[in-house]
Amino acid sequence: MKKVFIILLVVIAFGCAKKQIKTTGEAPAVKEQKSAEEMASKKKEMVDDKLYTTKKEGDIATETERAAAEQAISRDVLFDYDQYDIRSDARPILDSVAAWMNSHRGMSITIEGHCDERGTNEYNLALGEKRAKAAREYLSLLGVSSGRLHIMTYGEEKPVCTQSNEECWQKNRRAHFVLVK
Amino acid sequence: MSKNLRTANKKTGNYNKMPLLSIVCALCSVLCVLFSSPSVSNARVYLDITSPAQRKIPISINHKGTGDAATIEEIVKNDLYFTGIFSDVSPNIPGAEIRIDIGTEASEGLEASVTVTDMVEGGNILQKNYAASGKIVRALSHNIANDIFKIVTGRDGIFRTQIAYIADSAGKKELYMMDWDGYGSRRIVSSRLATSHNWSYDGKYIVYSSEGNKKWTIYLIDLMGAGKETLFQSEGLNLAGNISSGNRLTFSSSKDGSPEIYVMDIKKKNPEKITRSYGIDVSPVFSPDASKIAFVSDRSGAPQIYIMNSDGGGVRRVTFEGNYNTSPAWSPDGSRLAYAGRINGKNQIFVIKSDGTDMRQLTDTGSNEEPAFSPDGLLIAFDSDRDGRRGIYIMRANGEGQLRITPRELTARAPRWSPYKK
Amino acid sequence: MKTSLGLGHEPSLQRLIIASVLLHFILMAFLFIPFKTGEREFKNYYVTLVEPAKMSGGGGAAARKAEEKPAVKKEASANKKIAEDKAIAETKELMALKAEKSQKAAEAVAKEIERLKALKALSKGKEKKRDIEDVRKGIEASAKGVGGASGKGGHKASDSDCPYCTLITDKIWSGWVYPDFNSAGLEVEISIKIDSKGKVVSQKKEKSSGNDLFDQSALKAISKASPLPPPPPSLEMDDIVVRFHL
Repeated sequence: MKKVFIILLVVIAFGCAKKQIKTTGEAPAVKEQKSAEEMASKKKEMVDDKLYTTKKEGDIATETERAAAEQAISRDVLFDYDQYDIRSDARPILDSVAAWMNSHRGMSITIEGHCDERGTNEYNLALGEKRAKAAREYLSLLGVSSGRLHIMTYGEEKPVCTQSNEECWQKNRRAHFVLVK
Repeated sequence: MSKNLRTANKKTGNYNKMPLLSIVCALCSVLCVLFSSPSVSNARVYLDITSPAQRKIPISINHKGTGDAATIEEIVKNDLYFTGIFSDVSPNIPGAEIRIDIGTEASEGLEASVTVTDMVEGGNILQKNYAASGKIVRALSHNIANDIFKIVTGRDGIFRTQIAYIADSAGKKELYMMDWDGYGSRRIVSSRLATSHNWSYDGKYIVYSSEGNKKWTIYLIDLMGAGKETLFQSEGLNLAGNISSGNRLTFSSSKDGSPEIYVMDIKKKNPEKITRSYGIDVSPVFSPDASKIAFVSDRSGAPQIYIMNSDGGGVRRVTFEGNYNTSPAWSPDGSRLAYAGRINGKNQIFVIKSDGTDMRQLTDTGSNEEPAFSPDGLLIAFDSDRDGRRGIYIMRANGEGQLRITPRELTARAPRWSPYKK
Repeated sequence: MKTSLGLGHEPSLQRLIIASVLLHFILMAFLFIPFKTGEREFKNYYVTLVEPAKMSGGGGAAARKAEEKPAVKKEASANKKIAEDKAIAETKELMALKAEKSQKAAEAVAKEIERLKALKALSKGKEKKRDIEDVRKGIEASAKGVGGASGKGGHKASDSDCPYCTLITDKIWSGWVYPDFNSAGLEVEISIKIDSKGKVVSQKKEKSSGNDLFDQSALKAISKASPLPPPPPSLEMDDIVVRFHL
């Protein structure tokens, strides 16, 4: 695996060097661009491959890998006031989380449910749980087994902002995904 | 023959009739006199008075002696006047029905003498000396206030009771307690996120819920310092309600899917599920006589207050106004429930009779939640964000006298009033 | 032996008559029992307020006010006349019944006649009636002022034709202090006797409310109200029962 990585780096460096040499003329510029694009797409493929191979091992070892994983599940699913049903704007987020989970079958996540400050604390804890469970149900319909989706609720106890306006309140009405170590 | 008999009878009859006849006549005339003459007999006048002219007993409180006496007087005044039962009369102005004199002696610790005089009937109704080895002026003053309250009203005072609450410090939500008037705050247990707490019936324990390692656990903490015991843990959300006089805990758990109400003996730890609904059932509280449980359910589509028997039967809805009613709390006599109802986007404190009638709104400023009655039913504690940071407030049960008792720089919520201090 | 009152084998006419008369006496006697045990309606007694200036503080000011207001309360006087006539008629009935009674009953009747004469004398003095109204109102006003708190006093004397009753009810009410413990329905009855100067010489709890604090508050209200205004001499009553209730 590491060998592949080194080879990749060399290839990339070589590609970049090539760019440096050919600086005159338009045709070469176009060609440069194209090769840069080619390089970028190749790079992406390489990265995907790397992760694919990582998945097989069932663990994220490096910080970069971890960062990438967190990135994949970093977006929160937002909810309407007093509601826990999945909105249409939440679907793309859940879809991508499902995709990531499906390509990393060794991984588990916790879905945290949260609420804004306007309800009362105990009922908000229960509502937060409902939101987390709604997200879990959606993901399980996309093939993610619920054994890998843990549920947790924090109600209004862990807000991401504290202003008393709709913008902040909307941010707090969320299902948040966290990697299980 | 018969004629003779008749005359004979007449004669004898005549002779014997006279005395008897006169006796009867006398008797009758006496009867007539007794029963007939109106002006000589008892003429009663009935007067009707249907409501008191004054609802506050006028009292005057005076002190003499060392500086402690002034402090004691201050604390006793705050205690007694907050109940709304007494009004203050300046010492030199007449009109007080009760006069209280507080005197202190210079000493190592604290020594005070209190005299309570009945200004209407005359005479002392209380004469008592108090001594404390250390300078614990507040506790001593509250004891004095309790004794005065008891002698004048016949009822136990609440001035030594405590309020447990959740304080938010550096992101940690921890369980604290303080005197009923906000002094003497101290932490009960350290936690990352504690909530849903309540006193045991005898005031010796506190039950609460805490999140740790992505799990919600219900704990029992012994205030005498014997430590913490796990009462219930499972997957899902577990929130403690309260402990009844029969030592049973009621709580809400979503271990089987959506949150339902359970009851469990705290020694036997044998939870029994008593609600079965699709929605959310949370915030259960035993009534003071342990026969009923009030709780919150959104089985109708939105959260409302319900009451059921402690075995889960006889569920009936209590609140019908508004579409968000939560946080029920029983009055100590079991006749009323205080709760938080959302109106115009904010939560306000309401009280309602347990049969659902006579609903009254007590607050209208800011967002107010988590009401709790004092053990004599005269006061209600609650939390409010009306002054910026959420803090603990107290008021009379009719909504008067709303006052913040936690410092402004502290974020605090969810007051729970202890039973009488024994 | 045949010493009975003639209720033997063959009762003679004489005996029958005597027996009948006796029975009539007894019957009459029992007819009057209901008047004794129930509430005696206290009505239509005019109260002569002797020297209004003597009464609790406000009397003096009210008397002066009365002089300033010569307006005659015709309605009030008319009502009083009707009531007065009614009183006389009723008393006449009583007199008729009593005519059959013994000497002591006759004495009582004589008293009654005297009192009615006094009432009649009073009714002729229209100015005096005016004074009574004004003085009563003046004292009511000052009594209410002393009471403070809720002006919605709910208190009344047995009926408005007894100004003195209203007077003392007001005074006792103004000193009644009881905190709101959410305790509706409490009721205590206290009977009091007042001497000719208005001083309360005895208080007795006739019927307790079951709540000691409530009972005490009623007794205190009466203590504070003493001395009451002196009762008018023409007012005949043995005791007053004050009923306090929420």
